[in-house]
Amino acid sequence: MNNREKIYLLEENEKLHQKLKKMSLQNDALLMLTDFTSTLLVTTDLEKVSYIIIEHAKKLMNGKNIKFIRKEPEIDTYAYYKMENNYIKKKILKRNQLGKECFFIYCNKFYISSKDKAFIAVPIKYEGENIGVIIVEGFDSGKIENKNIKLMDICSKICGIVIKNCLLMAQYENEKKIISEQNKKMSEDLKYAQKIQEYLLPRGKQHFGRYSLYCNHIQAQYLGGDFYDVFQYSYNKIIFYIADISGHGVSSALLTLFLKQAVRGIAKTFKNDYVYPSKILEKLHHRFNDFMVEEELYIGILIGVLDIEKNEVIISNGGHNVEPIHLKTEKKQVVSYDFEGLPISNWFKDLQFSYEDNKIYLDINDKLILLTDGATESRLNENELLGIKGIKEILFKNINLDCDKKFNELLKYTADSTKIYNVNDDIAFLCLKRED
Amino acid sequence: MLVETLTQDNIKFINVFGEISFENHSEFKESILRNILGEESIIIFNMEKVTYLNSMSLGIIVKAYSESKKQGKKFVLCSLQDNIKKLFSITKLDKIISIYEDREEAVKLFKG
Repeated sequence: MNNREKIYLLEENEKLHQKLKKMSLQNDALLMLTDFTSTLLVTTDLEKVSYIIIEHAKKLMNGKNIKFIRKEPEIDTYAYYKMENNYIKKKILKRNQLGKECFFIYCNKFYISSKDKAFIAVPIKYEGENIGVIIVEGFDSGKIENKNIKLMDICSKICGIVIKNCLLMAQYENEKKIISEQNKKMSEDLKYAQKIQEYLLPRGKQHFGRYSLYCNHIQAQYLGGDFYDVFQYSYNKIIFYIADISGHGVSSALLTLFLKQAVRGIAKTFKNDYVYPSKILEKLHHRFNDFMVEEELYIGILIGVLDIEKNEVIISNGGHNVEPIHLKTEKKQVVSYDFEGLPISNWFKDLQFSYEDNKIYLDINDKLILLTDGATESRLNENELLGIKGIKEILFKNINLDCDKKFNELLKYTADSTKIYNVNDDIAFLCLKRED
Repeated sequence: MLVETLTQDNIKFINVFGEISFENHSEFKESILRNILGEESIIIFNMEKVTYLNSMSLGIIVKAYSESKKQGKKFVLCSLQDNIKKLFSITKLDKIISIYEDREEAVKLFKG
C-alpha cells in the first residue's frame, strides 16, 4: 500500500468514525425521548410529571438552569419550578405574580435568545391552549444547537398532552372530592331531617275514650312523603288523617311539616263542634295555593273526624288514592269506600269545587284502616299489583288480629314483594278501633 | 317507559308504554311537555300500554293538560287501564280531563 492509499484509508476511517459518533448521539437522544415518553405516559401525578419534564429538559438541552411553569388545576394559579445546580425549588403563584415569565407561557412559538445569556423558551400547548413553558439557560457551549431545538419541539407536544391529561385528572379528583364532601354533608343533614320526621310521625297506639288509634309507617328513603296525624279536637271529637305527598325527598318532607301545622291550625278556626273534614280540606286547599310549586307536587289526603259519643266518623277525601277500609269484625265483613275528591294542589286555581263529607258508623270491635299506596302498589307478580282487593283479602284473613299485628302482616307481605320486585315506596298505616 | 308520537290530520297521538315511576318521571315529564308543543290542535294521550302511574306523574299529566289548554289545544286521554282509571276518578280528574274508552272513540269525536 502506498502513502496515498494509506492517507485515503485514514480519511475514510475518520469519516466513518464521525458518522458513528453522530449516530450514537442520535441514538442516545432517541433513547432519551423514548424513555421520556414512556415514563410520562404512565404517570398521572402532576408533580411527578413536572420533575420528569425538568430532568429530561436538562439532559436534552444541556442547560444548567431550567425553569418550568405550568398551570395548576385551580383557576388562575401556576406552579413555578426552578432548577439550579440540580436543586429544584417550587412556588405556587397567581398569574399576576408571574412577572415577565408570563409572556413566554403565552408565546405562540419558541423564543430563542442568543445574546449575552442564551436561553430558549418552549411553550407547552394542548389543542391551542397554552398550559406552560420550559425555559432553558446556561448552555455549556454558549449556544443552542438545532438538533436540540428539534428534540424540544417533539417533547413539548408530548408534554402538552401529558400535562393536560394530569390537569384534567386533578380537576376530576378535586370535583369528586367536593361532590363527595357535599354528599356526605347532605347525607348527614338528611339523617337529621329523618329523625325530625320520625318525631313528627309517632308509632304506636293512642287511646281516646273507648277508641284506640294505632299508627305506623316504613320509609323507603331517608325522607318520605307519607304522613299521618291524630289529635283531639274537643272532648268528644278526634281529628285524624293520612296523606301522601307526591314524590320523595326534601320538598315532600317539608310539605309534611306544612300539612301538620296547617291542619291543626285550620281545625282551631272552627267553633265548638262544627268541624267538618270537607271544610278543613277546603281551607287547606286555599292555603296550599299560596305556594308556587310545580304541578308534580301535591297532597292526597284522607281526613276524618271521629265522634266518640255517636260512634260516627265523618270522612272526606282530598285525592288520596287508597280507599278507607272498614273491618266489620262482628259481621265478618271487609268493605272499602270509594270516596272521591281533588287533591290538595295548585292544579286548577280558578275551578270552583267542594269536598264531600261521608259518614261511617262504627260498631263494637269495628276497625277503620287508612293506608298509603306503598301497600296497594306492592306486587303480586311481574304485571299485577296487590291493589285494594289484595289488601282487603289480607285484612280479612287477619280480621280478629289487633291493629299492630295487622300492620305487621301487611308489612310482611309488602317487604317480600319489595325484595322480589324492587318496589321502593313508603307505607303508612292508621287503624282506628272501637274497643268496647 | 317509552314515549312514541304520531301525527295524523292535525291530531297528535302520544302513546306511552310501560311503567311511569319515580325513577323515570323526569324523563316522562320532559318528553310529554316537549311533545305537546307543536302545530297540532288536538292531543290524544294514549295510555293503553301504561301499566303503572306514580303520583308525581299524575301531576305531570295535569301540567300537560293545562299547558295545552293555554295554547288553545284540546288534550284528552284514552285507553286507561282499570287501576289508572280509578286514580283519575278518585282524584276527580275524570270530571276535568276528557277520558275516552279507546283511541277510535276519541278520534271519532274530533272527526265527527
